[in-house]
Amino acid sequence: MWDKIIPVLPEMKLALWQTFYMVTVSVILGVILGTLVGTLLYLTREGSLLKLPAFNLILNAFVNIFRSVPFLLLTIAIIPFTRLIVGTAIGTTAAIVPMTISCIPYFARLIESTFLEVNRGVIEAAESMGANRFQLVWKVLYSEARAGIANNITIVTVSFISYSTIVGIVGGGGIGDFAIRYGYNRYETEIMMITILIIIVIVQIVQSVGNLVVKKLDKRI
Amino acid sequence: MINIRNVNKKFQTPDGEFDAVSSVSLDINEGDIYGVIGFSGAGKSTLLRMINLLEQPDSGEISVDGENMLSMSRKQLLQKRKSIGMIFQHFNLLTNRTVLDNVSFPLELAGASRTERKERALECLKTVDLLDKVNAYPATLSGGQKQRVAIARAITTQPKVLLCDEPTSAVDPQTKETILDYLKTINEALGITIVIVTHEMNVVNKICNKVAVMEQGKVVETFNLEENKDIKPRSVISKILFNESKESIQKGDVYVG
Ligand SMILES: Nc1ncnc2c1ncn2[C@@H]1O[C@H](COP(=O)(O)OP(=O)(O)OP(=O)(O)O)[C@@H](O)[C@H]1O
Ligand SMILES: [Mg+2]
Repeated sequence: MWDKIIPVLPEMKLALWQTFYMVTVSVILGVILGTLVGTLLYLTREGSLLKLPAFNLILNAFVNIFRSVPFLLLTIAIIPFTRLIVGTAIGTTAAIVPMTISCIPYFARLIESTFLEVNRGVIEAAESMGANRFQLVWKVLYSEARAGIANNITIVTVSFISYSTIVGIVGGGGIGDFAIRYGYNRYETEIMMITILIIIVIVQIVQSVGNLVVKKLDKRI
Repeated sequence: MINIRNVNKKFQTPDGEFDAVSSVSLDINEGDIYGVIGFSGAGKSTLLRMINLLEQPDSGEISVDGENMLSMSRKQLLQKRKSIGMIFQHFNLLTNRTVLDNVSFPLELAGASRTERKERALECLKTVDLLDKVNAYPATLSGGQKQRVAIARAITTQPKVLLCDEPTSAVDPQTKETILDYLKTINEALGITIVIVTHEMNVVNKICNKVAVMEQGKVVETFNLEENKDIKPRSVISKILFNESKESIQKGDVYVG
């Protein structure tokens, strides 16, 4: 077995690096922008802090549209946009664009539901102390939701390790593409298995670290 | 200190409009511990929440310490709220902050320095005898301790008024006595005017000097409990409330008054 693996090790290392690069950048961008969208979704709801039902309706529609396009189709459909942003539609950096676009509405929904679980009474108590809207969001909402936010980040990271295997289609590379090239195209089943094993281990590590962080942040119990 | 004139509040419900508070007028003087009593749904919380404009009245006038609450800009209102503390039935402490950080939170919002915040928070925690819980998180405290933290938090900005919404309804009878004692203490020692919403007559008997009885959004009667030692309730609801409390006193109920 090792005789088959050792020659492809450099390529595997590169593929792992590509996956790390794509997932990290798209999750960081997706989390930041998704938090913004999710916060707006939460705040503009009927009965929330900034009642803007019309805006909420439109934003909701946008989020739903992007949530409903399957990732593979989204990757292809936004190729012109990707080219506009990074200059090319092919390659690892280009693959970050559809991943980020897909991460934003996903994370926005997750974080919106986390916000909805925050005790309204606590927000109200801060309002009674004269907190302004910025303070209510920054010091109360985000602080109360922080364990849930960490949990959401873990969820999207795991999802996007999986999504990253699809962007081989636009030359994104990565560990998934590597597995397909060897395991499927060249019938090197062992390499495929090893790669899957590596992905499982990576996901386990991400999940465990995530759980640890959530536990550390959560003071509710 | 608090003057409420002809205040109205309707809510839109699936079955149409609902009058939660209708033409209520009350005058609460400096130093009062003013009770607002009534059964569930009478509009007590809505009335209380209109004092610091957590709920916007549809019409009427509200002034606190001589300032008209309804003609203020939003900025002025946020500033004004710092002089009106509030505590709640379910405490509403920030779960991810320690007791100390909860109590210093209002000062943090006001932009006070770290040392100033800590000094003042410790002072307030001393008032409620919780100096041993400074670094604990709310989840590890008992209900009574949580409410004491909430009281400490409500007085850090040295408010003139403290609004209390059923502050003793989620704690056991013994703890209730303690909480009420602390409220009495801050009323006397710090000269804070207190408005306390409750559905229990024994709360009124224990600490209030005045009480308003509410039913279906209206104040049906008010009583000055200091002057008239012999209270003669006229309305049915007041009779029920006062007689209940008298009976339980006669029965020697330890938790009453
Ligand atoms: N945001 C709201 N929307 C619709 N109806 C409301 C709203 N808030 C309160 N109400 C209604 O107004 C009435 C008065 O409510 P309020 O909370 O003031 O009563 P309460 O006297 O404090 O009762 P409780 O003792 O149960 O707390 C209730 O019938 C309630 O259902
Ligand atoms: Mg109430």
